[in-house]
Amino acid sequence: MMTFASICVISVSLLLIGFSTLFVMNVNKLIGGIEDTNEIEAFLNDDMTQADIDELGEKLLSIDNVESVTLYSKEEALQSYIESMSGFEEVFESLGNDNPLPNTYRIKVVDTSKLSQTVAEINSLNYIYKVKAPYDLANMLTQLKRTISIISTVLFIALVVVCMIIISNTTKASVLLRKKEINIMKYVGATNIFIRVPFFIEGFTTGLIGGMLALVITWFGYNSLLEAITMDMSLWNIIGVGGFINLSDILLKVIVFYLAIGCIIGAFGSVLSTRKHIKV
Amino acid sequence: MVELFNVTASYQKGTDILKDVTLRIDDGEFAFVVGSSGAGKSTLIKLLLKEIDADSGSIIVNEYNLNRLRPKKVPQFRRTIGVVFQDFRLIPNMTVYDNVAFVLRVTNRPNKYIKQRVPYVLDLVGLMDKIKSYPNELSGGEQQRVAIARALANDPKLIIADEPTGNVDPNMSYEIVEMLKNINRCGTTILMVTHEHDMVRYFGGRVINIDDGIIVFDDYVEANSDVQKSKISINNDNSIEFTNAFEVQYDFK
Repeated sequence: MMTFASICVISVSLLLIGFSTLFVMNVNKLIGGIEDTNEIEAFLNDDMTQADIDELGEKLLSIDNVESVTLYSKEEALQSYIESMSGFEEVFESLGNDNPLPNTYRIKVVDTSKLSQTVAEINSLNYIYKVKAPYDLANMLTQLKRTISIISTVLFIALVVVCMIIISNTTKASVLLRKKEINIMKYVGATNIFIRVPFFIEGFTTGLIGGMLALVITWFGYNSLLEAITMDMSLWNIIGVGGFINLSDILLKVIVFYLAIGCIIGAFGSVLSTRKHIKV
Repeated sequence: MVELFNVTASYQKGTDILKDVTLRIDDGEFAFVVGSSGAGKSTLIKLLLKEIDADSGSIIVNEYNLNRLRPKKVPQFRRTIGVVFQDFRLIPNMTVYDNVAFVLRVTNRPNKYIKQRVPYVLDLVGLMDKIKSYPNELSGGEQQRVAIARALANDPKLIIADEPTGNVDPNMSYEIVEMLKNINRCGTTILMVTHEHDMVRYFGGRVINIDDGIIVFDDYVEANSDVQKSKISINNDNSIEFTNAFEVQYDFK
Protein backbone atom coordinates (compact mmCIF):
# COMPACT_ATOMS: atom_id res chain seq x y z
CA MET A 1 0.00 0.00 0.00
CA MET A 2 2.84 2.35 0.99
CA THR A 3 4.74 1.39 -2.14
CA PHE A 4 1.69 2.19 -4.27
CA ALA A 5 1.41 5.60 -2.58
CA SER A 6 5.12 6.21 -3.16
CA ILE A 7 4.83 5.28 -6.85
CA CYS A 8 1.90 7.70 -7.25
CA VAL A 9 3.78 10.50 -5.46
CA ILE A 10 6.86 9.98 -7.65
CA SER A 11 4.72 9.90 -10.82
CA VAL A 12 2.88 13.10 -9.92
CA SER A 13 6.17 14.77 -8.94
CA LEU A 14 7.79 13.74 -12.21
CA LEU A 15 4.78 14.92 -14.19
CA LEU A 16 5.10 18.34 -12.53
CA ILE A 17 8.83 18.50 -13.25
CA GLY A 18 8.45 17.06 -16.76
CA PHE A 19 5.61 19.30 -17.89
CA SER A 20 7.32 22.39 -16.39
CA THR A 21 10.49 21.52 -18.31
CA LEU A 22 8.56 20.90 -21.53
CA PHE A 23 6.74 24.22 -21.04
CA VAL A 24 10.04 26.07 -20.62
CA MET A 25 11.56 24.27 -23.63
CA ASN A 26 8.54 25.23 -25.77
CA VAL A 27 8.66 28.85 -24.64
CA ASN A 28 12.37 28.95 -25.52
CA LYS A 29 11.62 27.46 -28.93
CA LEU A 30 8.87 30.02 -29.53
CA ILE A 31 11.25 32.81 -28.55
CA GLY A 32 13.85 31.30 -30.87
CA GLY A 33 11.26 31.39 -33.66
CA ILE A 34 10.54 35.06 -33.02
CA GLU A 35 14.27 35.80 -32.91
CA ASP A 36 14.76 34.15 -36.30
CA THR A 37 12.23 36.45 -37.94
CA ASN A 38 14.05 39.55 -36.75
CA GLU A 39 17.23 40.56 -38.50
CA ILE A 40 19.72 43.40 -38.61
CA GLU A 41 19.62 45.29 -41.89
CA ALA A 42 22.89 46.82 -43.11
CA PHE A 43 22.39 49.32 -45.97
CA LEU A 44 25.34 49.54 -48.36
CA ASN A 45 26.87 52.47 -50.22
CA ASP A 46 26.01 52.74 -53.93
CA ASP A 47 29.63 53.03 -55.11
CA MET A 48 30.44 49.36 -54.48
CA THR A 49 31.58 46.81 -57.03
CA GLN A 50 30.32 43.21 -56.84
CA ALA A 51 33.75 42.22 -55.48
CA ASP A 52 33.38 44.82 -52.67
CA ILE A 53 29.93 43.49 -51.83
CA ASP A 54 31.17 39.88 -51.67
CA GLU A 55 34.17 40.90 -49.56
CA LEU A 56 31.88 42.74 -47.15
CA GLY A 57 29.69 39.65 -46.91
CA GLU A 58 32.76 37.62 -45.87
CA LYS A 59 33.71 40.25 -43.27
CA LEU A 60 30.19 40.25 -41.83
CA LEU A 61 30.21 36.46 -41.55
CA SER A 62 33.51 36.58 -39.68
CA ILE A 63 31.92 38.59 -36.85
CA ASP A 64 31.49 36.32 -33.80
CA ASN A 65 27.79 36.76 -33.13
CA VAL A 66 26.72 36.62 -36.79
CA GLU A 67 24.92 33.43 -37.75
CA SER A 68 24.15 34.14 -41.42
CA VAL A 69 24.06 36.96 -43.95
CA THR A 70 21.78 37.29 -46.97
CA LEU A 71 22.23 39.87 -49.70
CA TYR A 72 19.04 41.65 -50.66
CA SER A 73 19.95 43.49 -53.88
CA LYS A 74 18.63 46.93 -54.79
CA GLU A 75 16.79 45.34 -57.74
CA GLU A 76 15.02 42.84 -55.48
CA ALA A 77 14.20 45.65 -53.05
CA LEU A 78 12.69 47.80 -55.80
CA GLN A 79 10.71 44.92 -57.24
CA SER A 80 9.33 44.09 -53.83
CA TYR A 81 8.52 47.75 -53.20
CA ILE A 82 6.72 48.09 -56.55
CA GLU A 83 4.67 44.97 -55.79
CA SER A 84 3.64 46.35 -52.43
CA MET A 85 2.55 49.67 -54.01
CA SER A 86 0.29 48.35 -56.76
CA GLY A 87 -1.63 51.15 -58.54
CA PHE A 88 1.32 53.55 -58.46
CA GLU A 89 3.38 51.84 -61.18
CA GLU A 90 3.64 55.07 -63.22
CA VAL A 91 5.51 56.74 -60.35
CA PHE A 92 8.20 54.11 -60.55
CA GLU A 93 8.27 54.26 -64.36
CA SER A 94 9.32 57.89 -64.08
CA LEU A 95 12.44 56.78 -62.26
CA GLY A 96 13.69 55.05 -65.39
CA ASN A 97 16.90 53.16 -64.59
CA ASP A 98 17.57 55.23 -61.51
CA ASN A 99 16.98 52.89 -58.51
CA PRO A 100 17.11 54.93 -55.25
CA LEU A 101 17.03 51.85 -53.00
CA PRO A 102 20.36 50.51 -51.62
CA ASN A 103 21.82 47.01 -51.59
CA THR A 104 21.15 45.49 -48.18
CA TYR A 105 22.67 42.71 -46.12
CA ARG A 106 20.14 40.97 -43.86
CA ILE A 107 22.05 39.60 -40.88
CA LYS A 108 20.89 36.97 -38.38
CA VAL A 109 22.60 36.94 -35.00
CA VAL A 110 23.27 34.04 -32.66
CA ASP A 111 22.63 35.87 -29.39
CA THR A 112 20.28 38.84 -29.33
CA SER A 113 21.66 39.97 -25.97
CA LYS A 114 24.88 40.97 -27.78
CA LEU A 115 23.01 42.97 -30.40
CA SER A 116 24.50 46.42 -29.59
CA GLN A 117 28.04 45.06 -29.70
CA THR A 118 27.38 43.31 -33.02
CA VAL A 119 25.81 46.44 -34.54
CA ALA A 120 28.86 48.48 -33.45
CA GLU A 121 31.16 45.99 -35.17
CA ILE A 122 29.05 46.10 -38.35
CA ASN A 123 29.05 49.91 -38.28
CA SER A 124 32.83 49.96 -38.11
CA LEU A 125 33.09 48.25 -41.51
CA ASN A 126 33.59 50.26 -44.73
CA TYR A 127 30.83 50.76 -47.32
CA ILE A 128 28.00 50.59 -44.75
CA TYR A 129 26.13 53.84 -44.39
CA LYS A 130 23.35 52.75 -42.06
CA VAL A 131 22.42 49.82 -39.81
CA LYS A 132 18.90 49.13 -38.66
CA ALA A 133 18.48 46.79 -35.70
CA PRO A 134 15.41 45.64 -33.71
CA TYR A 135 16.75 46.85 -30.35
CA ASP A 136 13.44 46.92 -28.50
CA LEU A 137 12.47 43.40 -29.47
CA ALA A 138 15.98 42.10 -28.80
CA ASN A 139 15.98 43.66 -25.33
CA MET A 140 12.56 42.26 -24.61
CA LEU A 141 13.54 38.76 -25.78
CA THR A 142 16.81 38.84 -23.86
CA GLN A 143 14.99 39.88 -20.71
CA LEU A 144 12.30 37.25 -21.28
CA LYS A 145 14.84 34.48 -21.84
CA ARG A 146 16.79 35.46 -18.74
CA THR A 147 13.63 35.55 -16.63
CA ILE A 148 12.43 32.20 -17.96
CA SER A 149 15.85 30.67 -17.39
CA ILE A 150 15.92 31.84 -13.74
CA ILE A 151 12.31 30.79 -13.09
CA SER A 152 12.79 27.39 -14.70
CA THR A 153 16.00 26.68 -12.74
CA VAL A 154 14.42 27.71 -9.43
CA LEU A 155 11.26 25.78 -10.26
CA PHE A 156 13.21 22.66 -11.20
CA ILE A 157 15.33 22.69 -8.02
CA ALA A 158 12.28 23.48 -5.85
CA LEU A 159 10.25 20.67 -7.40
CA VAL A 160 13.07 18.13 -6.98
CA VAL A 161 13.56 19.15 -3.32
CA VAL A 162 9.81 19.11 -2.64
CA CYS A 163 9.51 15.70 -4.29
CA MET A 164 12.34 14.29 -2.21
CA ILE A 165 10.71 15.62 0.98
CA ILE A 166 7.34 14.15 -0.04
CA ILE A 167 8.94 10.79 -0.87
CA SER A 168 10.93 10.90 2.35
CA ASN A 169 7.71 11.46 4.31
CA THR A 170 5.81 8.82 2.36
CA THR A 171 8.49 6.22 2.99
CA LYS A 172 8.85 7.35 6.62
CA ALA A 173 5.77 5.30 7.48
CA SER A 174 7.28 2.15 6.02
CA VAL A 175 10.57 2.95 7.76
CA LEU A 176 8.70 3.40 11.06
CA LEU A 177 7.24 -0.08 10.62
CA ARG A 178 10.81 -1.33 10.37
CA LYS A 179 12.21 0.96 13.07
CA LYS A 180 12.56 -1.96 15.50
CA GLU A 181 14.36 -3.97 12.84
CA ILE A 182 16.78 -1.10 12.15
CA ASN A 183 17.33 -0.60 15.87
CA ILE A 184 18.16 -4.27 16.45
CA MET A 185 20.40 -4.29 13.37
CA LYS A 186 22.40 -1.42 14.83
CA TYR A 187 22.80 -3.14 18.22
CA VAL A 188 24.00 -6.40 16.71
CA GLY A 189 26.60 -4.68 14.57
CA ALA A 190 25.06 -4.10 11.16
CA THR A 191 26.81 -1.45 9.10
CA ASN A 192 24.86 1.58 7.88
CA ILE A 193 25.28 0.39 4.29
CA PHE A 194 23.82 -3.03 5.16
CA ILE A 195 20.77 -1.32 6.72
CA ARG A 196 20.32 1.19 3.92
CA VAL A 197 20.74 -1.13 0.93
CA PRO A 198 17.20 -2.67 1.12
CA PHE A 199 15.66 0.81 1.50
CA PHE A 200 17.80 2.08 -1.38
CA ILE A 201 16.74 -0.79 -3.63
CA GLU A 202 13.08 -0.38 -2.63
CA GLY A 203 13.23 3.38 -3.28
CA PHE A 204 15.10 2.88 -6.56
CA THR A 205 12.53 0.35 -7.82
CA THR A 206 9.65 2.55 -6.69
CA GLY A 207 11.25 5.49 -8.50
CA LEU A 208 11.76 3.40 -11.64
CA ILE A 209 8.12 2.28 -11.74
CA GLY A 210 6.94 5.82 -10.90
CA GLY A 211 9.17 7.15 -13.69
CA MET A 212 7.76 4.70 -16.23
CA LEU A 213 4.19 5.57 -15.24
CA ALA A 214 4.93 9.30 -15.56
CA LEU A 215 6.57 8.66 -18.94
CA VAL A 216 3.47 6.95 -20.32
CA ILE A 217 1.18 9.71 -18.98
CA THR A 218 3.47 12.41 -20.40
CA TRP A 219 3.59 10.72 -23.81
CA PHE A 220 -0.18 10.54 -24.19
CA GLY A 221 -0.91 13.77 -22.29
CA TYR A 222 1.61 15.95 -24.13
CA ASN A 223 0.77 14.58 -27.56
CA SER A 224 -2.97 15.09 -26.97
CA LEU A 225 -2.32 18.62 -25.73
CA LEU A 226 -0.12 19.36 -28.73
CA GLU A 227 -2.74 18.00 -31.09
CA ALA A 228 -5.40 20.25 -29.53
CA ILE A 229 -3.19 23.36 -29.61
CA THR A 230 -1.88 22.90 -33.15
CA MET A 231 -5.25 21.96 -34.66
CA ASP A 232 -5.35 25.42 -36.24
CA MET A 233 -1.74 26.31 -37.07
CA SER A 234 -2.72 29.49 -38.91
CA LEU A 235 -2.77 31.43 -35.65
CA TRP A 236 0.77 30.34 -34.86
CA ASN A 237 1.88 31.15 -38.39
CA ILE A 238 0.54 34.69 -37.99
CA ILE A 239 2.49 35.12 -34.76
CA GLY A 240 5.46 33.85 -36.70
CA VAL A 241 6.58 30.99 -34.52
CA GLY A 242 8.29 27.86 -35.72
CA GLY A 243 6.11 25.27 -33.97
CA PHE A 244 6.36 23.21 -30.82
CA ILE A 245 8.74 20.58 -29.49
CA ASN A 246 7.89 17.14 -30.79
CA LEU A 247 8.23 14.55 -28.03
CA SER A 248 9.35 11.80 -30.40
CA ASP A 249 12.33 13.99 -31.43
CA ILE A 250 13.63 14.02 -27.86
CA LEU A 251 12.23 10.65 -26.74
CA LEU A 252 15.55 9.20 -25.58
CA LYS A 253 16.32 12.30 -23.51
CA VAL A 254 12.82 12.22 -22.00
CA ILE A 255 13.14 8.52 -21.08
CA VAL A 256 16.55 9.06 -19.46
CA PHE A 257 15.29 12.20 -17.69
CA TYR A 258 12.18 10.56 -16.22
CA LEU A 259 13.81 7.29 -15.19
CA ALA A 260 16.96 8.90 -13.81
CA ILE A 261 15.12 11.58 -11.82
CA GLY A 262 12.56 8.98 -10.65
CA CYS A 263 15.27 6.60 -9.42
CA ILE A 264 17.26 9.39 -7.77
CA ILE A 265 14.21 10.84 -5.98
CA GLY A 266 12.99 7.37 -4.96
CA ALA A 267 16.33 6.02 -3.75
CA PHE A 268 17.59 9.09 -1.93
CA GLY A 269 14.17 10.00 -0.50
CA SER A 270 13.97 6.50 0.91
CA VAL A 271 17.50 6.51 2.32
CA LEU A 272 16.91 10.00 3.76
CA SER A 273 14.01 8.69 5.83
CA THR A 274 16.22 6.05 7.50
CA ARG A 275 18.71 8.67 8.66
CA LYS A 276 16.98 9.41 11.96
CA HIS A 277 16.70 5.77 13.00
CA ILE A 278 20.16 4.78 11.91
CA LYS A 279 21.85 7.03 14.47
CA VAL A 280 21.98 4.53 17.35
CA MET B 1 36.69 -7.02 29.93
CA VAL B 2 34.90 -3.79 30.77
CA GLU B 3 36.89 -0.91 32.18
CA LEU B 4 35.73 2.60 32.93
CA PHE B 5 38.18 5.12 34.31
CA ASN B 6 36.95 8.46 35.74
CA VAL B 7 34.00 8.50 33.35
CA THR B 8 31.62 11.44 33.40
CA ALA B 9 28.65 11.50 31.03
CA SER B 10 25.73 13.82 30.48
CA TYR B 11 23.00 14.39 27.92
CA GLN B 12 23.15 18.14 28.41
CA LYS B 13 26.17 20.10 29.59
CA GLY B 14 25.93 20.75 33.31
CA THR B 15 23.62 17.85 34.16
CA ASP B 16 25.91 14.88 34.71
CA ILE B 17 24.21 11.50 34.71
CA LEU B 18 27.36 9.57 35.58
CA LYS B 19 29.94 11.31 37.70
CA ASP B 20 33.59 10.27 37.71
CA VAL B 21 32.79 6.54 37.55
CA THR B 22 35.63 4.04 37.74
CA LEU B 23 34.76 0.39 37.26
CA ARG B 24 36.37 -2.83 36.10
CA ILE B 25 34.61 -6.07 35.21
CA ASP B 26 36.96 -8.89 34.30
CA ASP B 27 36.40 -11.52 31.62
CA GLY B 28 34.09 -14.28 32.82
CA GLU B 29 32.50 -12.22 35.61
CA PHE B 30 28.78 -11.90 36.34
CA ALA B 31 27.83 -8.52 37.73
CA PHE B 32 24.48 -7.12 38.76
CA VAL B 33 24.08 -3.37 38.30
CA VAL B 34 21.36 -2.04 40.58
CA GLY B 35 20.00 1.38 41.30
CA SER B 36 16.82 3.39 41.30
CA SER B 37 15.29 5.00 38.22
CA GLY B 38 17.43 7.85 36.91
CA ALA B 39 20.47 6.65 38.87
CA GLY B 40 22.49 6.29 35.65
CA LYS B 41 22.13 2.58 34.82
CA SER B 42 20.79 3.18 31.30
CA THR B 43 23.46 5.78 30.63
CA LEU B 44 26.09 3.24 31.63
CA ILE B 45 24.66 0.76 29.09
CA LYS B 46 24.53 3.41 26.37
CA LEU B 47 28.17 4.24 27.02
CA LEU B 48 29.19 0.57 26.90
CA LEU B 49 27.37 0.12 23.58
CA LYS B 50 28.95 3.31 22.19
CA GLU B 51 25.48 4.74 21.71
CA ILE B 52 26.66 7.92 23.44
CA ASP B 53 30.14 9.24 24.21
CA ALA B 54 31.53 10.10 27.61
CA ASP B 55 32.30 13.74 28.34
CA SER B 56 35.53 12.70 30.04
CA GLY B 57 37.35 9.58 31.18
CA SER B 58 38.16 6.42 29.27
CA ILE B 59 36.11 3.33 28.45
CA ILE B 60 37.50 0.01 27.25
CA VAL B 61 35.15 -2.83 26.30
CA ASN B 62 36.37 -6.14 24.87
CA GLU B 63 39.76 -4.59 24.07
CA TYR B 64 38.14 -1.71 22.15
CA ASN B 65 39.02 1.74 23.42
CA LEU B 66 35.67 3.46 22.92
CA ASN B 67 37.18 6.95 23.20
CA ARG B 68 39.21 6.30 20.07
CA LEU B 69 36.76 4.06 18.26
CA ARG B 70 35.91 5.51 14.86
CA PRO B 71 32.22 5.40 13.78
CA LYS B 72 33.19 2.99 10.98
CA LYS B 73 34.46 0.46 13.54
CA VAL B 74 31.39 0.62 15.80
CA PRO B 75 29.52 -2.24 14.03
CA GLN B 76 32.59 -4.48 14.34
CA PHE B 77 32.82 -3.64 18.06
CA ARG B 78 29.11 -4.30 18.68
CA ARG B 79 29.44 -7.78 17.20
CA THR B 80 31.47 -8.70 20.29
CA ILE B 81 28.51 -7.88 22.54
CA GLY B 82 25.12 -9.53 22.96
CA VAL B 83 22.29 -7.33 24.18
CA VAL B 84 19.09 -8.41 25.93
CA PHE B 85 16.41 -5.78 26.39
CA GLN B 86 13.53 -5.51 28.84
CA ASP B 87 11.03 -5.30 25.95
CA PHE B 88 12.64 -8.26 24.08
CA ARG B 89 12.77 -6.31 20.78
CA LEU B 90 11.85 -9.28 18.63
CA ILE B 91 10.65 -8.66 15.09
CA PRO B 92 6.95 -9.58 15.10
CA ASN B 93 6.68 -10.79 11.51
CA MET B 94 9.64 -13.15 11.81
CA THR B 95 9.60 -16.65 13.27
CA VAL B 96 11.75 -17.57 16.27
CA TYR B 97 14.28 -19.09 13.87
CA ASP B 98 14.43 -15.95 11.71
CA ASN B 99 14.69 -13.62 14.71
CA VAL B 100 17.86 -15.43 15.77
CA ALA B 101 19.15 -15.98 12.22
CA PHE B 102 18.61 -12.28 11.53
CA VAL B 103 21.62 -11.19 13.62
CA LEU B 104 23.82 -13.71 11.85
CA ARG B 105 22.64 -12.52 8.44
CA VAL B 106 23.33 -8.93 9.48
CA THR B 107 26.91 -9.89 10.22
CA ASN B 108 27.22 -11.70 6.88
CA ARG B 109 27.59 -15.22 8.31
CA PRO B 110 27.33 -18.01 5.69
CA ASN B 111 24.00 -19.82 5.39
CA LYS B 112 25.53 -23.15 6.35
CA TYR B 113 26.75 -21.68 9.63
CA ILE B 114 23.38 -20.02 10.30
CA LYS B 115 21.55 -23.33 9.77
CA GLN B 116 23.75 -24.99 12.38
CA ARG B 117 24.07 -22.14 14.85
CA VAL B 118 20.41 -21.12 15.21
CA PRO B 119 19.07 -24.55 16.30
CA TYR B 120 22.06 -24.87 18.63
CA VAL B 121 21.39 -21.63 20.54
CA LEU B 122 17.63 -22.26 20.55
CA ASP B 123 18.34 -25.65 22.08
CA LEU B 124 20.47 -23.95 24.75
CA VAL B 125 17.51 -21.84 25.85
CA GLY B 126 15.08 -24.77 25.53
CA LEU B 127 13.02 -23.42 22.66
CA MET B 128 13.61 -25.95 19.90
CA ASP B 129 9.91 -26.82 19.91
CA LYS B 130 9.03 -23.17 19.22
CA ILE B 131 11.42 -22.70 16.29
CA LYS B 132 8.61 -22.02 13.81
CA SER B 133 6.46 -19.90 16.15
CA TYR B 134 6.00 -16.18 15.91
CA PRO B 135 6.72 -13.89 18.89
CA ASN B 136 3.01 -13.21 19.53
CA GLU B 137 2.48 -16.95 20.03
CA LEU B 138 5.00 -17.02 22.91
CA SER B 139 4.78 -16.05 26.58
CA GLY B 140 6.90 -13.16 27.91
CA GLY B 141 9.42 -15.60 29.37
CA GLU B 142 9.71 -17.49 26.11
CA GLN B 143 10.15 -14.24 24.17
CA GLN B 144 12.97 -13.25 26.51
CA ARG B 145 14.58 -16.65 25.99
CA VAL B 146 14.49 -16.03 22.23
CA ALA B 147 16.15 -12.67 22.89
CA ILE B 148 18.85 -14.45 24.93
CA ALA B 149 19.33 -16.96 22.10
CA ARG B 150 19.69 -14.02 19.72
CA ALA B 151 22.27 -12.41 22.02
CA LEU B 152 24.17 -15.69 22.11
CA ALA B 153 24.07 -16.26 18.37
CA ASN B 154 27.20 -14.25 17.58
CA ASP B 155 29.10 -15.98 20.40
CA PRO B 156 29.77 -12.68 22.18
CA LYS B 157 32.42 -12.11 24.84
CA LEU B 158 30.03 -9.93 26.80
CA ILE B 159 26.26 -9.96 27.27
CA ILE B 160 24.57 -6.82 28.51
CA ALA B 161 21.10 -7.55 29.88
CA ASP B 162 19.03 -4.44 30.53
CA GLU B 163 16.26 -5.34 33.00
CA PRO B 164 15.74 -8.72 31.30
CA THR B 165 13.18 -9.78 33.91
CA GLY B 166 11.18 -6.56 33.78
CA ASN B 167 8.45 -7.89 31.49
CA VAL B 168 8.25 -11.55 32.48
CA ASP B 169 6.29 -13.32 35.18
CA PRO B 170 7.97 -13.87 38.58
CA ASN B 171 8.84 -17.55 38.26
CA MET B 172 10.24 -17.00 34.79
CA SER B 173 12.37 -14.09 36.08
CA TYR B 174 14.43 -16.45 38.20
CA GLU B 175 14.65 -18.90 35.34
CA ILE B 176 15.97 -16.16 33.04
CA VAL B 177 18.68 -15.15 35.53
CA GLU B 178 19.56 -18.82 36.10
CA MET B 179 19.97 -19.14 32.35
CA LEU B 180 22.27 -16.11 32.23
CA LYS B 181 24.26 -17.56 35.16
CA ASN B 182 24.72 -20.78 33.21
CA ILE B 183 25.86 -18.87 30.13
CA ASN B 184 28.33 -17.08 32.39
CA ARG B 185 29.65 -20.41 33.67
CA CYS B 186 30.62 -21.17 30.07
CA GLY B 187 32.90 -18.10 30.10
CA THR B 188 30.78 -15.22 28.82
CA THR B 189 30.94 -12.01 30.84
CA ILE B 190 27.47 -10.89 31.92
CA LEU B 191 26.41 -7.43 33.01
CA MET B 192 22.81 -7.46 34.18
CA VAL B 193 20.97 -4.31 35.07
CA THR B 194 18.03 -4.79 37.44
CA HIS B 195 16.13 -3.12 40.21
CA GLU B 196 14.87 -6.36 41.73
CA HIS B 197 16.92 -6.47 44.94
CA ASP B 198 15.42 -9.71 46.24
CA MET B 199 16.55 -11.49 43.11
CA VAL B 200 20.06 -10.07 43.46
CA ARG B 201 20.23 -11.27 47.07
CA TYR B 202 18.93 -14.69 46.05
CA PHE B 203 21.62 -15.24 43.42
CA GLY B 204 24.41 -13.27 45.05
CA GLY B 205 27.70 -12.42 43.34
CA ARG B 206 29.11 -9.08 42.38
CA VAL B 207 26.72 -6.20 42.89
CA ILE B 208 27.35 -2.66 41.67
CA ASN B 209 24.94 -0.11 43.08
CA ILE B 210 24.68 3.21 41.28
CA ASP B 211 22.97 6.13 42.95
CA ASP B 212 22.72 9.58 41.45
CA GLY B 213 25.47 8.83 38.95
CA ILE B 214 27.97 7.56 41.53
CA ILE B 215 28.93 3.97 42.38
CA VAL B 216 27.98 3.75 46.04
CA PHE B 217 28.54 -0.01 46.43
CA ASP B 218 30.69 -2.47 44.51
CA ASP B 219 31.32 -5.77 46.25
CA TYR B 220 30.49 -9.46 46.32
CA VAL B 221 27.31 -10.51 48.03
CA GLU B 222 26.76 -14.07 49.20
CA ALA B 223 23.90 -15.96 47.60
CA ASN B 224 21.04 -16.26 50.03
CA SER B 225 18.65 -18.98 48.97
CA ASP B 226 16.62 -18.25 52.08
CA VAL B 227 15.43 -15.10 50.39
CA GLN B 228 11.95 -15.86 49.23
CA LYS B 229 11.90 -15.76 45.46
CA SER B 230 9.61 -12.89 44.92
CA LYS B 231 8.79 -10.11 42.68
CA ILE B 232 7.40 -6.74 43.64
CA SER B 233 5.47 -5.00 40.91
CA ILE B 234 3.93 -1.56 41.10
CA ASN B 235 0.56 -1.48 39.38
CA ASN B 236 -0.89 1.42 37.42
CA ASP B 237 -3.00 2.44 40.41
CA ASN B 238 0.22 2.59 42.49
CA SER B 239 -0.77 -0.48 44.50
CA ILE B 240 2.09 -2.88 45.23
CA GLU B 241 1.79 -6.50 44.20
CA PHE B 242 3.96 -9.10 45.88
CA THR B 243 4.18 -12.39 44.01
CA ASN B 244 5.88 -15.59 45.04
CA ALA B 245 7.78 -17.33 42.34
CA PHE B 246 7.91 -21.01 41.60
CA GLU B 247 10.98 -23.11 42.08
CA VAL B 248 13.50 -22.85 39.24
CA GLN B 249 13.68 -26.18 37.49
CA TYR B 250 15.60 -25.20 34.43
CA ASP B 251 18.22 -27.67 33.35
CA PHE B 252 20.86 -25.85 31.31
CA LYS B 253 22.63 -27.97 28.77
